[in-house]
Amino acid sequence: MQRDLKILFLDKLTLFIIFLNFSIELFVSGLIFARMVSGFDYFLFIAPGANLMTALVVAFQAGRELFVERALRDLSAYHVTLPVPRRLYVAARIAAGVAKAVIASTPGTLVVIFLYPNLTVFTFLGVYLVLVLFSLAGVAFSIMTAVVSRRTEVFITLRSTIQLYLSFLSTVFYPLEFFPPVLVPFVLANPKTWAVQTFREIVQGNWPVQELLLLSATSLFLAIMAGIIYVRATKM
Amino acid sequence: MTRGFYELILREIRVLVKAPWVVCSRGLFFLIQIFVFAVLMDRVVDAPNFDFFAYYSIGTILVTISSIAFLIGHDVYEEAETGLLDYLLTLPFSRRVYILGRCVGGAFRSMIYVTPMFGLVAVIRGFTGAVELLGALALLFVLAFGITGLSITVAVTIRNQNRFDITLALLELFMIRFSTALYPPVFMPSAVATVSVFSPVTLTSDAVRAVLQGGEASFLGVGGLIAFVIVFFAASTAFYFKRIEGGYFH
Amino acid sequence: MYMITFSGLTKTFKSTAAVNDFTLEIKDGEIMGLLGPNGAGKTTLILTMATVYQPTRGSVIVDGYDVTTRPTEIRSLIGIAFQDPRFDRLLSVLDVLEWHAKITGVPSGERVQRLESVMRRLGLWEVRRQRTWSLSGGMKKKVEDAKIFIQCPRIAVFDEPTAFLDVPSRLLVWDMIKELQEEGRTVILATNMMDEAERLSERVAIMNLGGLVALGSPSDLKQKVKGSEVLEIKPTDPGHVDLERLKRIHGVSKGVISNDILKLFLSRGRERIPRVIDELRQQGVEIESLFLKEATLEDVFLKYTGSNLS
Repeated sequence: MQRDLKILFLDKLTLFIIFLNFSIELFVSGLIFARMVSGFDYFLFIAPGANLMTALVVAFQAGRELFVERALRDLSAYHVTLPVPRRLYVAARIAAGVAKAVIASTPGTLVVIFLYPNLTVFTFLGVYLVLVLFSLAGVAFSIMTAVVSRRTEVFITLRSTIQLYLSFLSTVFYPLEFFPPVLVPFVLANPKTWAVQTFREIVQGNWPVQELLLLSATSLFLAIMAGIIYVRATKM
Repeated sequence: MTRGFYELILREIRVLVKAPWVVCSRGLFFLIQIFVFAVLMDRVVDAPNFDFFAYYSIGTILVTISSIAFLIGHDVYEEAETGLLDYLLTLPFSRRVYILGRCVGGAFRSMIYVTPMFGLVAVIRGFTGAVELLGALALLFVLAFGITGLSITVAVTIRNQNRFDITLALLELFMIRFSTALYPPVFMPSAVATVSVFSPVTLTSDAVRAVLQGGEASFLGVGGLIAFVIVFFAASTAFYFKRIEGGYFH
Repeated sequence: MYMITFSGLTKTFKSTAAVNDFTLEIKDGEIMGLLGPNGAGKTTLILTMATVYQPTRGSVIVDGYDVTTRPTEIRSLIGIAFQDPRFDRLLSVLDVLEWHAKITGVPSGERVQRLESVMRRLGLWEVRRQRTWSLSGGMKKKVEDAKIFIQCPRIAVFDEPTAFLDVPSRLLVWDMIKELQEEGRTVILATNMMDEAERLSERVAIMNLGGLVALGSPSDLKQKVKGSEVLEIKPTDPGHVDLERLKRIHGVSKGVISNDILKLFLSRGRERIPRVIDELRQQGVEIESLFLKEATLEDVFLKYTGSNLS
């Protein structure tokens, strides 16, 4: 875990560009789209989603790194010979992926939180809980993708399909009522929908316990699945 | 000379064809942008006298072609890092042919990527005039050629991998987001609108829209686009020469 | 008639001279071995000749063309098989070789036949549709060598052509290089392997620190090792050996310790052995083993550079 975080902090310019990307998404694209929409405040609507997009991109790096280590550099063979139990090793990689996603999206998270009035300590805690849970789901998805893919093309295609589903068939960019009925079940089954809805509720001072529990259960389930698949893969 | 030039272009295209999964992923992204994002956002956007879907569908093509054209910088950088450049430089053609071949090949590659997408948008939007369609494709080619030059310039002037990745990503981000590709200037904050005037993506976007909708592209806009191409083709040639002739990498 | 002439060639990168005042003439149709450790300047020399780098000082003339003024003509004469295979990872074996054949001007009538023949000989035919990134190190090396066998250039340059290859493949590549020469091509063979240089090269140029330190046929070079014999001794404690005192023994021309082995270059070795043993005993050095042999190219290299090639 320390190794993964060290690599993240060595790459300060990447952290900067991640934040810059978020800022342009929110303060250029978000603001411009907000001017086209009159029914509700689109800028505040998109802000939590822009932040979760950042977290998702970084969370998916976990799988990319794993795939590169495994398929291209064969670094995994070295890692699994280290005197660390496999389960602990896998848990640490997942935890590191989540930590990296949360750290990299923190500047954006703070910007979004401060866009809303009536901040409390609970708002911070709640938002970070959502970020951690969502990043956990993202890391789990990306690790599963990396482990099941033997070839680069399969990995890239799977990864982009999952990312596209998570981002575009969720309520990040548009409210649920704008979706045609045929797409609604896909949107409701999307962890990113639960995460962004929960995020929006929390920054407005509400605590959607049911959604939080659902997000927690799903993220933990995905993480356990990813862990099992990863441990099996390390045994080769 | 002709053989080398022709084969260099074919090589760029062959590398693209050999990576169908990348084409598929990008194609899927494009389809979702058009049929999910643009359609749904069209319902959300309620600005008077503004057809979001119509505007965004053309913008997506500009964004896609810009992104693809930027890819050549990564190829050139990787070739220098892995030593493939040394091999290419021993082949029997002049440096001028080599650099021109890379730029034209990169632009062709981008066109091959984007032409089916362009065709789809033309069908959806009902653009049928052959002259207009060819004019728009020519403008897209010019933009791709210029971005290829820009991308190669960055690849051969920055030697640190991290800094190179970031610079290229930032350039792409600024050129696209600070342009009229995805949203018209009327909705932009004034600072963004001012900056967007200088983006080659804006110049192309405005010209392509004008041509497709039966109007005339502004002389100033097309002139600006051509100036962008000349500047960055010259820069890529100059910097590439400097690097490869001087053994810059070692 | 010389095909390639290096005259006082110097190539510096910033303040480091990778090649320093290098002069050498290579005859048309000969196989010239370039021997040198990593960092000796072999690759820089080759790439300067191939017009990738411009000389800092001096000149390189290839078939009458100067590298600085007529680079394009030179490129059409040369083909290089690089030490590390250089091709697009995404492309298949056939794509790589076919493209190389086309761009180097192999006539279309001969191309298909040459591609098939070389691929079959090197055992690449079965994997011709496979992407190059998925090949083993040895197969990648064969693809790199195959480019030149298909191209048949006037000047064929091989940089470590048999690295990563198994013994049968190594022998095959050696045969194919010999055939190139028999067809009248000039071959430059940069290698770390003494047996390769000795077996293939008519002349060998030994490079060290960017300069030429010895030149001649393998047998001439071996003769140049005074007395042509080498006494290899494994002492228990190499640190205690006094080389200066050993060199005072009559007939011993040079002494070197490399990888804990003491090597003495001498003449009439059999007669000198008792004296050497006595001297080492006097120095308090015990001997684990002792071996007298004729000088090899490796010994020549050691004599001129003071270090082992490996």
